[in-house]
Amino acid sequence: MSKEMHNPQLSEAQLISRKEAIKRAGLMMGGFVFAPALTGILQGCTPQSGEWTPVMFDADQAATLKAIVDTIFPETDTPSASQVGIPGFIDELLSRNSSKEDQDVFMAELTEFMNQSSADLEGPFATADAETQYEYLMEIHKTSAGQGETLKDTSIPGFFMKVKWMTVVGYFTSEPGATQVLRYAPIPGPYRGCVPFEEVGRTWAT
Amino acid sequence: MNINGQAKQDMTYDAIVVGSGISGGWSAKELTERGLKTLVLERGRNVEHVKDYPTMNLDPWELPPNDDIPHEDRKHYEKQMRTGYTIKESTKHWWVKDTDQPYEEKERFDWIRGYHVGGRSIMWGRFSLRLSQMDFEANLKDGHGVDWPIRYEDIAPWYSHVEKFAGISGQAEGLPQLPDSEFLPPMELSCVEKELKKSMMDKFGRVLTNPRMANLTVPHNGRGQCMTRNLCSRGCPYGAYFSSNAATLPAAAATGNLTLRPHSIVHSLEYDDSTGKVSGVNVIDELSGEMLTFHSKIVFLNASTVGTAMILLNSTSARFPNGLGNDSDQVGRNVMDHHFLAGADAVVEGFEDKYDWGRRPQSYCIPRFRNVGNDKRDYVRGFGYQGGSGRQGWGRAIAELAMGQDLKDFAAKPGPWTIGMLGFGEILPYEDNRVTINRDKLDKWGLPTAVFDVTIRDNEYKMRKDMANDAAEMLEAMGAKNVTPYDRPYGPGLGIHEMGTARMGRDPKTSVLNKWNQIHEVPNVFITDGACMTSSGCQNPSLTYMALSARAANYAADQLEKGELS
Ligand SMILES: Cc1cc2nc3c(=O)[nH]c(=O)nc-3n(C[C@H](O)[C@H](O)[C@H](O)COP(=O)(O)OP(=O)(O)OC[C@H]3O[C@@H](n4cnc5c(N)ncnc54)[C@H](O)[C@@H]3O)c2cc1C
Ligand code: SF4
Repeated sequence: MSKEMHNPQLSEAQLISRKEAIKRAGLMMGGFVFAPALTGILQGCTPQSGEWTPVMFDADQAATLKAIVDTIFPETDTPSASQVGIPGFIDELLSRNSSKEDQDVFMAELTEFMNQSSADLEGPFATADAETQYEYLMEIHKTSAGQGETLKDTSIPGFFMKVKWMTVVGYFTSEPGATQVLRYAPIPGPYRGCVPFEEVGRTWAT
Repeated sequence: MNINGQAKQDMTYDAIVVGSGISGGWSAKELTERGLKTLVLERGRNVEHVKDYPTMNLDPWELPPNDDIPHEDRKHYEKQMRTGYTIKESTKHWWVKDTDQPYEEKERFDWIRGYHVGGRSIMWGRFSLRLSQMDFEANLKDGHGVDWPIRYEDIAPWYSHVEKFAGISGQAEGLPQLPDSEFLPPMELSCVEKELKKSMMDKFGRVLTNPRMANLTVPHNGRGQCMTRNLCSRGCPYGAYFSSNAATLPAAAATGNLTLRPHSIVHSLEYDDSTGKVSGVNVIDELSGEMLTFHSKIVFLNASTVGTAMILLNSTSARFPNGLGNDSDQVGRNVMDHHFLAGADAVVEGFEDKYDWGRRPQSYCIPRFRNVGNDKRDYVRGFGYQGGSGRQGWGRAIAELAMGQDLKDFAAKPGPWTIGMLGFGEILPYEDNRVTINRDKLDKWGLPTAVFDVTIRDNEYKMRKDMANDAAEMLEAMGAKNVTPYDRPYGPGLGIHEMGTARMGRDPKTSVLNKWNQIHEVPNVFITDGACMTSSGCQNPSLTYMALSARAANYAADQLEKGELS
């Protein structure tokens, strides 16, 4: 593994990165690719969720997704996932950059999640309180991490990881994620191979 | 440019260069600087330095996240995508569409390329290594392929010549198997790379050295210093890495002797029986579809290894029924690449209070040590490593069992240092590793398409074992954890170092080119791209193409001055 693991701008032919890129390509399989039209949504750190018109989702589905991504990254002293446009990001991933097959799988999994969570929580996931949402998703996350059994025989743990993957990638390639949570240097200047950690202070965004 | 009705006079130059990539750019620079009126014929569109790098300054959030292309576009790049990294939204404009440029694979062959002014000099990895005497003698010594008609001392001054202009950063080590270049200051190694370097020397007597790359660590010849953004393949706003567009073509243009003609697909060369030379270059104008013929005293074929072979094979005449200069039947044979995707990765503990600054755009370098000196293996030739290191980044937040502020905090802390090395191995010249042309399957310009039949064999497979095991052993020896050797499937071409289709040699019966890169039987045609390579070494080859192009161009200019060749 190399630093290209966390570098969305892979250097062509940096050989170690060829390998990483190939691994990443594997990770990306399932056709989740992202579209340029999203750029506008992700720019700036003003909340965008209100302006988003979903392509793939009806209102309930959109509300469910928003609730999931905001549980993964809620608003703290830095913005929430929906404030940087992650629901729109996921919508775009599916509608524009995924195969029909991947779209269908995702939508079926979302439906299964909504049905299951409604039954378990006795009401829609989206309207549950934040603590309930957190605990519910954490149990599912434990299953996907091999540390639990909850909903083990459903598509839900895998679905959750898909959404988490999209959320993390979207968040840390957004300007607020890259610059407020991580450290971003568009033009680093001369390379220094070994500096005290404090000089950088946080994980490099790229 | 008005083409219709041009008089033959207007279509006549001293020299024609076919292709504007790494080799063509050098041929053009040297020929024009020697006072020759030179026409560069390039099949793709024009690309002006900086002006035509639309994505060079985009931040991640200005690009489609993860920089991927829309799903519906993937079908156009089925083969170009095989690298896993070449087709991105920010770089896809540099690559051919497979749907426009079909080819056939008897065996899988990854022909990864771009057609535009600058060729692959825009997207190349910039790792720049000299061949050594050991490489020039290898075929003669172990009997694979034919002997190179030149030795290290023939090319050494030309390496210096091109390096001083291009700007290669690196650290001199004085190794016979990997001669030093004329180096600009090296880019640093990371903390863990320095640790590995020390351990490799102490425990194995092997060298690890700084990247040797065509990235400028100081301003050089009017081009700027590298700001370590690691976005080179989008084009560099500072001109801080070598490309035809940033370096050789502007120098050629500055002489006033350059005519660059984009959208000019070279179809074939016309052979003139009465002179025993090529008299014309037939071109399809990509925009008008018109067929034109340009004339010159000399022709440099720099259309890249496969492109050049295809032009030769398509240039048939009564004298050369099997293709120009193909009396030996060697045109299209001996296709080589560098096999890779074998190596090892590991985690290094103990440097948690350190980080690196900047995105170094190339890897550290471990020169070949196998079959060097007294070392003897059960295979011939050898391999070198390129490697990288860094702390794990935010990607590890995906798998981490956490959400909320905890997850933000986790992502904001870099993970452990990791280090890896990836072998690049020599492929022997096998005569039946071959590219041919299919006249029954024409592309949309009516040109025959390429057919590949190339495989790696026993020698390469044995070498790959060492590529993985030696890497693991050296990482273990430095005390690294989770050492993971790997040997993943490699498809010929994936190294993007294809070469050998019109090899140099001493004997016209077994080779296509002489020691000056001239076609044995057609002295006014010079081939200085990868086609000319007699063996592959394990070094990234482009620096050698540069040196051979400059050497042959100056030889050709000398000959013309003496009244030869015209
Ligand atoms: C991602 C990547 C990483 C690489 N990394 C390295 C590295 O680190 N070190 C290294 O040494 N090498 C590297 N290479 C290889 C390097 O790019 C090539 O060796 C080099 O570009 C070859 O130079 P060339 O002039 O022969 O061909 P090219 O640079 O490919 O140029 C050929 C030109 O000819 C034109 N052309 C083709 N056919 C015709 C025709 N019929 N008529 C007119 N024009 C034509 C093409 O459009 C093109 O512009 C890498 C390549 C890639 C793609
Ligand atoms: S890494 Fe250096 S050479 Fe490459 S694009 Fe950035 S500044 Fe230019």
